[in-house]
Amino acid sequence: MKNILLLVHDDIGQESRLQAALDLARAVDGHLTCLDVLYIPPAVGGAGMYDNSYMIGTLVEREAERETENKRKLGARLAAEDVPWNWIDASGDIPSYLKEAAELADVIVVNRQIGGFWFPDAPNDAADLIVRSGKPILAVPAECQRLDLDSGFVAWDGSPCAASALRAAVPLLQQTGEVTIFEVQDGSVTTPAEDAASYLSRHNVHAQIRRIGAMDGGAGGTLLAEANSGLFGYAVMGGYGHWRVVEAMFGGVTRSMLSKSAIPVFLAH
Amino acid sequence: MKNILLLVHDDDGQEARLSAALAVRAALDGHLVCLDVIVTSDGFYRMGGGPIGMLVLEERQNEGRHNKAAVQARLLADNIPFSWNDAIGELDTMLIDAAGLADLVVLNSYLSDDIADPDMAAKIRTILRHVSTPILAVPRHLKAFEATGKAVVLWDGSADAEAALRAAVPLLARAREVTILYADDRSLGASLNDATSYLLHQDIIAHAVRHEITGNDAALSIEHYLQRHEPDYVVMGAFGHARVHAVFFGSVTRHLLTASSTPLLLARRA
Repeated sequence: MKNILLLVHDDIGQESRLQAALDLARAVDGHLTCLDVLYIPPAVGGAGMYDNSYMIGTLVEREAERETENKRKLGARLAAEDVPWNWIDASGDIPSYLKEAAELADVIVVNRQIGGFWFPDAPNDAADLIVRSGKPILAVPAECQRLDLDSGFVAWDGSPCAASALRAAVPLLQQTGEVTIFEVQDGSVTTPAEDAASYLSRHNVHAQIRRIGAMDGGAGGTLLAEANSGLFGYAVMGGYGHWRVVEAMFGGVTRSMLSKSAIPVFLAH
Repeated sequence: MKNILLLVHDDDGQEARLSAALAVRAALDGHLVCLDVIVTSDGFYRMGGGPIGMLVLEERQNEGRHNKAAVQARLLADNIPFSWNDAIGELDTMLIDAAGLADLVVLNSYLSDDIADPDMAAKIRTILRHVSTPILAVPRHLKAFEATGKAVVLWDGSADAEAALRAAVPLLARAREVTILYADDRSLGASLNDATSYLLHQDIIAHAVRHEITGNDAALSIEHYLQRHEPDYVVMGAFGHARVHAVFFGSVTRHLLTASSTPLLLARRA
C-alpha cells in the first residue's frame, strides 16, 4: 500500500481527506498522488448554452481561480510535510484522468458520503469510476481530521469480500496498535474469525476476536455502534458485492457504515 | 505475502510445488498452509457417491495417507512453520474456499495430457474467476524455484497486469533483476511509465524492454523471449484486456501455462 491516490478539490471534505491521506502515507511509508479535480458543470457546452453562457463562464472562471489558489496552498503545505507526493491537474475529461490515476493506486482516499458523492461536489460518474476501479477505498468522514492508528477493527462475516478487504488492509493493520476482529453473529458466518486471526498473525498482526450479537439494527447497527464508540480509529470491511449501479451497490451493512460512521472506513471488494 | 497455500496431492507435480512453495516461504519468511485434497471425480456428490464411488474414495484416502506422512515428515525435519488442512472434494472448489485467506497459491502450470490428471490451465482459470489471490504456477519438473532471481513482468497495461504487478511486489523487491517486457504499441507509453514509477516508489528498479512481436503469434514470440533470457519467473495478468491487445495476452496465459518451462505468477484484478 505505497501508492495513495488523493482527490483534491476545494470543498468541505478536503481537510479530512488530506489529513487521513497524510497519516496513511506516513504510516505505510507511502507516496501521495494528488489528483486535482477541476469540476466543470455538465451544462457547459450542452443545450441552452447560449442562454446562460455568461453565468456559466463566470462559474467556471471562479472554480478555476478557486482551484489555483487551493493548489498553491496545498502545495505549500505538502512541501512542509515529510511525505513524497506528486500532483496531477485534471480538468475537462475527469473520468479518464481518474481512471488512469486509479489504475496504479493501491488505495484511494475519498469522503464517506454515499449517494454518488465521494467528495461533496463530485460528478456522479466519478463515484462510479472509483468503485469500478476495484481499488480499496479509505472513506473519511468530513468531520474526522486524522487517521488514528492506535486501534482499529475488522468487520468479519467470513465472506470472500471480507477476506479480500482483510488482505488489502494488511499494511495498515501492521501499523496499528490494537486490532480487533468483530464477528457479528447473525448466523451467516461460514469462515470463522479464527481463520482470519491466524492469517493476520502470520503477517505479525495479533488481533483479538470479539463475537457480538446482532442488535436491533442488525449487523450494520452493531458495527456502527462500535465505530462510534470512540474506541477505534478506523474500520476495515468488505464492501459492495454488486457494482452495476452505484446507488444500488452497497449492501445494508456497508451502507449504514458509510453514511454514519464517525471514523474512516477502509473498504475493499 | 506471508500465507502460502500449497496444494498437497500425490502427483507428478508435487515435488515442484513443494520446492517452489518452500523457496517463496524462505524468501518472504512466510507460513505454509498445506491443503491436502483427496479429489473426488467430477460430479461425485451430485451423483450421490454410490458404493463404487465410496470404494474408490477409500482407496484414494489410503494413498493420500502415505503422501501426507511423507510431506509432513519433510516439513518437520526442516523446521518449516506450517499448518495442515485435509479436504475431500473437487479440486477447484476446495482451492477456491482455501484461497480467500491466502496471499499466494502454489499450483502446477501443467500436469499431463492424461485424462486422470486435471487440466491445470482450466482449474487456474476457474479459481481466478472466483478469488483474486495470485497463483504461482510452476512447471511439474521444475528443479528449483529461484525466489530471489531474475523476474520478467509482462506488461500490457491491463487491469489484470497491474493487479499482478501489485501482487508481486514482495517478491520483486527481492529479485536480483526486474524487467518489464512490453509489446510494441503506442497506447502503452504512459501506462508503462506508471508501472516503472509504481515500482520505483517501492524501491524496485525495473528495466523496461520493448518486445517486438514477430509474426502473428504473440504467445510464441513471448515464449521464445523467455527461452532466450531464461528468467526465474514471470509476472503477468491472467486474463486479457478490454482494448486492442486483448487478444494478445489472454491467449498468452494459456500458451505459457502449457508450453513454457518458466514459473508464472498470475493475478487478476480484484
